[in-house]
Amino acid sequence: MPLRPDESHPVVGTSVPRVDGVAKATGAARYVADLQFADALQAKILHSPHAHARIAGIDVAAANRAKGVRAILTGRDAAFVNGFCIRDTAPMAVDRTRWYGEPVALVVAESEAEALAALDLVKVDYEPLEPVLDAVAAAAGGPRIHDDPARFEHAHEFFPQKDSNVLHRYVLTKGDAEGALTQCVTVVEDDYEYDLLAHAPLEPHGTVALWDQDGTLTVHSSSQSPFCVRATLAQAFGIPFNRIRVIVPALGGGFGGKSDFTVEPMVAAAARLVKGRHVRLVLDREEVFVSSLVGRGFQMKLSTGCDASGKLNTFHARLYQRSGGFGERAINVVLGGGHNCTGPFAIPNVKVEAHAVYTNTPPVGAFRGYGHPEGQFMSVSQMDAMARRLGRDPIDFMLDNLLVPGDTNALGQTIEKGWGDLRGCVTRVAGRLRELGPQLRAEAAARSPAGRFKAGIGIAPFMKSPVMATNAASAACCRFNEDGSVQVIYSGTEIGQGSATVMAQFAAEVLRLPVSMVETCTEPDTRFTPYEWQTVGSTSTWKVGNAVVRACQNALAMVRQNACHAFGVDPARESEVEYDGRMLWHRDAPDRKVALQDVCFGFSEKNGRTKGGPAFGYGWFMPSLTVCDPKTGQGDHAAEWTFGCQGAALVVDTATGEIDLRKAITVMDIGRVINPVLARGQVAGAMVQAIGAALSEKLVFAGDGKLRNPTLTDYKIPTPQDLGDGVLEITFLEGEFDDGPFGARCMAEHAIVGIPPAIANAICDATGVRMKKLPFSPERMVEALEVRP
Amino acid sequence: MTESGFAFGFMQGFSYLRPRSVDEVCAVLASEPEAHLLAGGTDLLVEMRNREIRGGMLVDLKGLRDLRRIRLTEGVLEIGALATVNDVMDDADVRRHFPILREAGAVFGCHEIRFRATVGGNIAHASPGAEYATPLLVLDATAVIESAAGQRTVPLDRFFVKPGQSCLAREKGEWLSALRIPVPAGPTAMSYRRYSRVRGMDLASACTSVFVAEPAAAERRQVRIALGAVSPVPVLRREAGAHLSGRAWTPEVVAEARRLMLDGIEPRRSSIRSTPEYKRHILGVYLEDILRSIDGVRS
Repeated sequence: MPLRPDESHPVVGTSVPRVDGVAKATGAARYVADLQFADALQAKILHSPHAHARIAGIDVAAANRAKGVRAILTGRDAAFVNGFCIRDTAPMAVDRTRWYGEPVALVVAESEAEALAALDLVKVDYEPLEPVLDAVAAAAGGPRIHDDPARFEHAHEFFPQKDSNVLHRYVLTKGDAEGALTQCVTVVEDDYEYDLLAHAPLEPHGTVALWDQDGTLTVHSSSQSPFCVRATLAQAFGIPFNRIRVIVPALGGGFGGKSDFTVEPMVAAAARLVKGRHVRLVLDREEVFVSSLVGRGFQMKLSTGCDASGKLNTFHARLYQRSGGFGERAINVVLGGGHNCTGPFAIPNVKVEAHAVYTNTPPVGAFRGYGHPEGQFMSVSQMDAMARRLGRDPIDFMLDNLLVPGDTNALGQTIEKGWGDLRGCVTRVAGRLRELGPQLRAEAAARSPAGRFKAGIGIAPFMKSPVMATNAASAACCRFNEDGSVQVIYSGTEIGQGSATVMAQFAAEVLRLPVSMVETCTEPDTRFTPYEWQTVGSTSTWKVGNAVVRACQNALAMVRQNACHAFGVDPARESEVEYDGRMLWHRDAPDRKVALQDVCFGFSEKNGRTKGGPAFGYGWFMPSLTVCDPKTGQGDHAAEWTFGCQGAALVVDTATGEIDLRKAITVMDIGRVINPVLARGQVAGAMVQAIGAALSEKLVFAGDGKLRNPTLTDYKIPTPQDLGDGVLEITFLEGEFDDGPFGARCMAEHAIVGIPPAIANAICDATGVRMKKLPFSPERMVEALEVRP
Repeated sequence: MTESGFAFGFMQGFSYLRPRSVDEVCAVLASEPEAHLLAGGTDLLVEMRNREIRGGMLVDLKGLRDLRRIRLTEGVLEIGALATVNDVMDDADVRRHFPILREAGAVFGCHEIRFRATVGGNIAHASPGAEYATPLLVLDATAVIESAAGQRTVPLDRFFVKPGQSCLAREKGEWLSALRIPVPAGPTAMSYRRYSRVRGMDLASACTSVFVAEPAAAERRQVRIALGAVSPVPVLRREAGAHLSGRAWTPEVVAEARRLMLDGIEPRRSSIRSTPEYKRHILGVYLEDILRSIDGVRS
């Protein structure tokens, strides 16, 4: 049974205003770029103009002599390689450049202007090589991007393929898909593509690094993952973790693009050349596109088969990720994308072959949804296509094939009732779509010219789990102050998602205090704040929340122990002490009360002798996970599934190919809603980012691998003008969930998963045309509709 | 970008001057070879940041208050070079006579940019897809050009030379001070349509303006059509306009006008914003949509 909020004065479940709202709305919040260090040197990057080239030489002599220059770092100076899954990632190009924009040199100077002027003096001698941009082609052969991925140090659950561009091949097997497919009565096969995308967070990446003369490294960084950055820097420089301090100030979004590590090793390597001085690098917008991380980039092939009764029987998928020039941060996306790509459907026979493939594109990393949007775009599109092939209503067909309690998913996990009401989500979306469909069709039919506008509806059930290390722990402390207010300390980052507010709500609820008496940590500092694996995968509310709840419970237990001294009771009997948020009393003596502030720092007798101590609590959370079985690819690799369903209702202008998205619907079972406004904000944000992926976003590479649109002028993210009022409809179901704080499930990124397939399915419903490559631009639409002369 | 690589930075090696009179501007431009005129700055500052312009003198026109005026005198509307997009959007004469300028303004950048960006800058920058180029072309606008040698005027269809270059003779210190538009005598219909990748802030991937004098009287109709972002400069399509002038718009007439409008229009393949095929396709759809809406208004 999950904890329940106080019935009379609940904090959990209410839309508490953001605790960081005023600071962020007024500009008072300080981001990395705002930090001032009197001695700071400025760093600027020289980026490779080639997607693939041998570096025959770099001449920095003239640049070194330039005014104000204090250091110049090249790949050869920063000769270390990072990675925990696969140790393949260098901070900058060494002898070879693997994508357009890869850092080749870093100039550190007294001012940005001097650094820039010196960059023009760096001479690099390139010998261009043939770029490899297509993952399927790169997996099949062609120019090699790394000499041999199998020779990279790697964790045992990853399988780099010898003498190839394939840095991981994950095979998941349930039943006998290849055999069963030959027995299927109806088979659908198709190819799908989810293009490379940019995260485009508001705040560009920045890092300030300082090496003290004694060898201590301090880094301020715009990171979702300060402890991962610390481990990476320890690996890079071979120093113990306690000599490295990583501090994360206010963050302006990340969507996965600030997870793992990005520019920190490079800036730290440069700072080591100028010990005693801060080195500051803040990326320009274009540099965020080419020199941090990008997302998605999946090329997919799927064969699905139904038996004679029309039940889905077989699923065989082949996935190829354009992992980019380095794979450490991409490799787990392939694992996650592989193990969930069936979508939430019951399928007896499954085979998934998922490949991470080196390509001459910027490195792929985590991106909101982490593998789930890619594979489920494919599978849910194909479920719709299969239904149409069978002459069935896609909604009914998907309902008939949903996972139900007792089924096993592709990983071999048995679905339990407590995992959420998938069917309830689907039927709610279906009901809404079945209202909207006829209305929109009638409206479109009435428009002139006759027949030009076509309306359709599409549905997309989805599932998502966080893809994590098996020891992806969270830890938290709760520390009482002298006046009874508390500090709640943890290292989950407040990246805009609202976690600082949600943690304050958890603490306030457990401690029965007003939110104003709770201060939550918004600036993780690895020297002082407790461990957090990473702020990724929609896990903060669930994972950090569990740790915070336990920390607060433990701190409160210590307050009760202190109170026992006041009541002359053995502190071991603290559970007998009652507490109402202000006063404490022993259950057997309700008239003798002490105030919270009189026992939160121990209890002082009249003569001043004090018993007990300052109340403090520690809490932690560890998921229960295993790595995948090397033979079957199955295992408890998905910690918690959250189920939901999305829908789209739209009108296609068949003359222009433009899609007018009229409704985008999300219904999710997220357990208890902790903060309704913030929860809706997360879902709305994910839906809009998904609409961008579906309709307008795409990184465009020229044939030579040059990224043609590393700007927000030409990388088109949706803005408020792109959505009419009332387009987004969001509903939460609150099923009972035992493993989350107050019953909360992971819920934030999930709504990015089903929107593209829902739109694709609605387009097919409207026009009969199946869109298989994202985005569904008007150009692609008119081509598919064959209206263009 | 050099052969060695590329980097990003900002604002080095610029000097700044804010003249107080047209004559002072002319004098500065006559003597300063590396002058860059600053009006709204919405294009210039981007170029400086991208290091496409490295150094020189910024000549800030914003001290010339008179150049922000929009005036209707003797049947001619004069838009000063410093009038912002929002100035034009809010102007009563524009509202009354030239709703097409409001259509173009409504999709120009975003509200914040429209407070800074000037119509004059939009034209002088000579971008193939300049939002205001095709409306002003079909309105028969004239560019007013100043220099130390005096004032001259150029019809807008002779103003654009190639992408980013107008007929302004920089070596002579010429600059654009105003745009003049004749107010039509009789009833008119006009429309601007553009294709952009998102409905929010975007540049035009392809755009068109259509102007019709006497729309309700088929035999007296005069039609002008212009296209933007599909050729090196924004262009008037005279033959297509002539084909639609003085006659009823039967499906055959419209189809031929569409053919004439697109004849020889070959958008560059290298554009990142759309394909040549789609640009030609969408402009044809827009022409038919506009003509249908004008005929629909009449009936």
